[in-house]
Amino acid sequence: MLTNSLSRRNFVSLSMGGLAGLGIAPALAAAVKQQAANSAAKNVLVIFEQGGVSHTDTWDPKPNANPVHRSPFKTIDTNVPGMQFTELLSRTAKLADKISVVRCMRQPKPNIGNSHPLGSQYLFSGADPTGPVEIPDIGSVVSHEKGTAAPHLPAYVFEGSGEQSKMTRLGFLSASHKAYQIRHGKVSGLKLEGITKDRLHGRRKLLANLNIGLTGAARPEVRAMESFAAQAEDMLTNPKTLAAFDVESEPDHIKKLYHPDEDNRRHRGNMYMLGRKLIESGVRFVTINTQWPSNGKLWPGGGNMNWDHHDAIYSKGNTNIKGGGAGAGRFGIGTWPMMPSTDWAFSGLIADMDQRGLLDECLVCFVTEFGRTPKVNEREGRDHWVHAFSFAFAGAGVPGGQIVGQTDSDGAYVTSPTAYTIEDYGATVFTKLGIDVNEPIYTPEDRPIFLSKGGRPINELFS
Amino acid sequence: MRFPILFILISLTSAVSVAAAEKPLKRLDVTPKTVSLSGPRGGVQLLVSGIHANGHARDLTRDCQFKVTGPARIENGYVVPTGNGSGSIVVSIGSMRQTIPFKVERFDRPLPISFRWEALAVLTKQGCNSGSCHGKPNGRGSLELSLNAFDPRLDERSLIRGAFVRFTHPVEPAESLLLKKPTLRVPHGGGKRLRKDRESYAILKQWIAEGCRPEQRDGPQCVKVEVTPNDGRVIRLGPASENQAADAAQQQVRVTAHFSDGSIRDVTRIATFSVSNDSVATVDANGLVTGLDRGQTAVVVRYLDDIVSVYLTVVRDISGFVWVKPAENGYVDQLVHAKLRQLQYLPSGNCDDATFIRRLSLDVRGLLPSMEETEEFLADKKTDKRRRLIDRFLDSREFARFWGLRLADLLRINRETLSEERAADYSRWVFETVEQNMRYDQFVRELLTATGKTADVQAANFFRTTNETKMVAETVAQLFMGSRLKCAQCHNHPYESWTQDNYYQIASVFHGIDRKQLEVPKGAKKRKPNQREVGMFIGMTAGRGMSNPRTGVPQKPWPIDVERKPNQDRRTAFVEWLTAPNNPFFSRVAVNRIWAHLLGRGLVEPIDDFRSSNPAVNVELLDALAADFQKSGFDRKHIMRVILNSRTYQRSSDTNQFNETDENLLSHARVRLLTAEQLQDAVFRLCDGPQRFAEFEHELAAADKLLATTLKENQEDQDAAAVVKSKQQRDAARARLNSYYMTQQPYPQLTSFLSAFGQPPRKTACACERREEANLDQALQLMNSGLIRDRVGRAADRFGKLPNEQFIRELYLAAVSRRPSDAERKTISDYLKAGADRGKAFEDVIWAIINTNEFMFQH
Repeated sequence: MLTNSLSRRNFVSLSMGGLAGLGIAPALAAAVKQQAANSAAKNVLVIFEQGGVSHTDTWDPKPNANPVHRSPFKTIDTNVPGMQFTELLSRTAKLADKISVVRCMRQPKPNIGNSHPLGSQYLFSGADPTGPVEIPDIGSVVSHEKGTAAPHLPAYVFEGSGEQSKMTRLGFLSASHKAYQIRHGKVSGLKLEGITKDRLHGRRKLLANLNIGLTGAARPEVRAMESFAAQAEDMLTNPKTLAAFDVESEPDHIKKLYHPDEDNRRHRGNMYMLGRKLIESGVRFVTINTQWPSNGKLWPGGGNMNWDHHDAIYSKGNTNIKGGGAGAGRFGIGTWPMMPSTDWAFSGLIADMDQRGLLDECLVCFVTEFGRTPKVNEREGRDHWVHAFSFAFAGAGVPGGQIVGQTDSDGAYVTSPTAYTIEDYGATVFTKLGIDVNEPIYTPEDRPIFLSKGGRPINELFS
Repeated sequence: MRFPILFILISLTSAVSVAAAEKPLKRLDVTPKTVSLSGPRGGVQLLVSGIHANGHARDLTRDCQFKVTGPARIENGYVVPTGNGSGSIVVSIGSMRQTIPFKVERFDRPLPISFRWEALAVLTKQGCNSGSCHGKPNGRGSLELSLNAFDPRLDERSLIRGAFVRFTHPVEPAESLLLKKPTLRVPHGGGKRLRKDRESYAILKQWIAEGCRPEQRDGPQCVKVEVTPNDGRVIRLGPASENQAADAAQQQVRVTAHFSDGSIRDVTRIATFSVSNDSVATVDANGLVTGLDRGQTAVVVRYLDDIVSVYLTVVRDISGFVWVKPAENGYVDQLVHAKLRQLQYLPSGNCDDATFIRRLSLDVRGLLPSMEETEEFLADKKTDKRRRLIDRFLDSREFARFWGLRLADLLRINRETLSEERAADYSRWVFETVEQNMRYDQFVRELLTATGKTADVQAANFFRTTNETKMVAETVAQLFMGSRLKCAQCHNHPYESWTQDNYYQIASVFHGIDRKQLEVPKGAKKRKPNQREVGMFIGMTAGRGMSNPRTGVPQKPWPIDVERKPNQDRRTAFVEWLTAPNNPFFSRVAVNRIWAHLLGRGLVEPIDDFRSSNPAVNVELLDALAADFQKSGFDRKHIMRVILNSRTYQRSSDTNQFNETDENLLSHARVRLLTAEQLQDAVFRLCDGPQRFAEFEHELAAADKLLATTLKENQEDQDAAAVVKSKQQRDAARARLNSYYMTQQPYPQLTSFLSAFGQPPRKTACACERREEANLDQALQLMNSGLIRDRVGRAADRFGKLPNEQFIRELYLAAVSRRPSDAERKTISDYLKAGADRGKAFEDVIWAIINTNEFMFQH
């Protein structure tokens, strides 16, 4: 393939220097053009499963691993010959032809491998969070670079019921690009409270008659505020705003794609569906960082159900064991609040987005901070593992039915020639959106900041 | 770093209208007076100025004729040798002429290229080692250079040995990648950077041909870079025509580098030029400045990592502009007016009394004036009423609290790092220093040299909020030297003269700070304090200098030329240097912060980014304020008084035909959104009425008194029930007071309302943490937040019982400190009459007032 034969250095030179003036070979020009055409994303949906999802139990099955450490979940075929997952992804396996799984992710940064907060921030920004300048989230940069496509909605929406949601960062960008955070899909601030739509319009009319003491005519700062007020009024009264968040209004046959019918089994599916609705409504960048809500009656002992399975990862219930600790409060990876609900929701998301044509222009990313140890520890858990783990991608020109990279028979280390980093993931997202990571953006002090510094787009995701 | 001396420009303009035509030329002034050229690459830039009869100087370098006799040629005033010998250059324009003798030596001797002083200068000039290209960490492609060549040894390694020696090819120099890439003979991400026919190409090529010689370690160093003309040079544009483009006028700049071996080299052609304000002027690669529009700009000249700026003013005659001398009150107005007159802006008039009391009250106390205060002030007929109001507000407790909040912002006082108790004590100390108007140098001395237990010596908490050496150094530099030193941790500061060595010298001052965690006292206390409450012991050990990680050389503490005894606290000499009268930063940074708080924008902006390449909008004014500040004994209130009493502060925000385009020269007041805390308090004060706060204050005073009495009565048992109870009462009263007005407490809670309006999270010492720009979230908060909804409901309680007329009058007095106009009265009373539900109609009106520009903005 042309793109593959084109070394990255050459590609960068070409795209930056401009094609016309260089008189370069037509073949090269065509290749560059092709990659540009693959930068097809208009918006991005990130599913962030926080805590470190065990890759060997999900996307990267290891049927020949040492039996002591091997995952108890069977390796199954998908609808793409040669592409295998574990049975925890049996629904997704039927849609494997729509997704690329990158099995050669690495995150070997000192200090970050053991920190969920920093690891999460690393993913949100696609850049090392320990540098001298606070780097904004990818979503905030996208809002800054691309603006909103739907003025009645924020450009960057962050479903933040997950534990590390506080790690989103605005960095040096202006407040308009901040992540709009919601929890459990509940809209705050965008729903009119204690006042009807008509009364708000009435108040605004009265205001127009009284707003004469200091006019915006010659004062740009006043004019800016007036235009934000008009936009706010539209957001608060436009029925489309709330409709974008209203998962309940979806028809039953759609809901079934995401989750079973029982009330208490819907959460994750609902959040993934919310992601699709927001994308469909024109939000530029959506992050779903959710975890199963704790409920002492239904999920006794599940106080913090993220993926940090240090203890009893294969428990049929909670992971609270004697001598454990760091991994307490979770539920076993095979229980409903973990992988089964995720498999159902993710497969539903891909199917639904596909049937609506949303995959044409939306990049869907399934990500986590790192993987988990290929060895089971003495507490039947798996600890953090930064040397190999898996991400999945779909849409916006990402080829379907593709496995990128390879790990050894235990899932411990990458054995393929290339491995990818969190910066590479960031560069992929930016490049898909047509944002050039080789051009810096500038802080208010004029310091150049390179987006996902040092990252290279994951070549195989640009077919 | 340099600051120009006080330079008042009034003398330049004598007539009432500046629009007078240029007087005829009186004489020519050529720099330098004699030219001596050495070696084959010598070259000298001549500057030719015409001095007019009225004293105006004008650059004629491009307009005059040069006639050369002897071995040299000249182009655009740049003299280049063609052989050994001597001769003369005759400079003439019209009937004026001057003769410049010159001589050329060593023209036929080979002169190897200096890697550092020539080759690296060329790479810097072409932008190769800039922060967005190969100068970024790890470089670009396979070439890594140090930012602006601050680390020549790294550059040497990269260029000579990097990428398997592919960059240079001494046998066939033209085939070197270093030349092929930037000339686009092979594709280059950075585009075309070099042209084969230019001197810069020749320099690099010759360096390669000579075998890529690295710099001699003990070779001469550049000790000084000099730029001509000096600050204050004025470029006069011709009159603007209909379509606004004025005749361009130009100014050539000449740059010389002085070396440690006594040699002086003209480096105009290899220095790098930029301007700080490109709407005023542009500068080309040869140092030719072209004026575009009236205004001021720094021309920033970089020769390797030396940066020198000269400040140029561009003026243009504005048709119809006539200077009418406005009233003045002191030096502030004189200096502001001099600038306005020179640049032909006409100041707006005085603001009215209503605007004044609201503006003053918000700036000084953070709060809206009460209705009673406003009425009393409006009714006062005495001419000195503004001066008296200024004094009254400056002496209020609200003033000390509000300015204490601002200091607490910068000192990062918060409950998380410190405990509640320590934060309260520390901020009370800050409050007291403001209330007592402690000399600012003393405040800084107490803060920076604090030693002792943080529970006893409040200032020592400074070293807890800044909890490691580098953070202390960066905070001190940013707060008191107006320098964003942080950049220099990893590389020389890209826009100013601070080097990486300087960074570690300043850090070395604080390297020996010892932070000892104190033990929680053992014993049978009912409630044991936790570790954070017990605090630390802050001490100073002898300490070692901190090493620059690049060189590994331990640095002496700043200032490095002072002898210190081995056991002497290094901070003492530093504070002495910092607060000395001739310190170029301390006073200027302090008065600039005060100015920014009162006028909405610093004379230097950003207010903590002082560097020669970021000039003040009125250098003379900044200097005069700083001088006054020193003379007054670092008296902050004195400076505030001077500023608040000036006509400049009291100007209307309305513009006129001759100042509507002025953004920063202070010809009219600046309209700005209330700060987060001010806005929330304004809403509270409007809706609850001002007496609520006073009630809380009385409650707290009473609770304090009660606690003191019970403590006295129970001296032997401090844990007695009565003591515990009155302590609880006191704490509750304090909490009530503290959670009420945000401007009146040192560390307001971070809330979504406040953060939407720019409340700083206090993570850094940067004033930029407080965000000022309008955003959508603010509009949503005002329209739909619980805070506004609650208060609007309460306001209906406050005003609801009043008859309509009185309600409208009081509402306007309380909200915008003025009486309502007839139109406003009618709109509101019609609205109240039309509404079926009177309570709801009241709420609507109050909501509308809160959402008017006049309420939300300071004007």
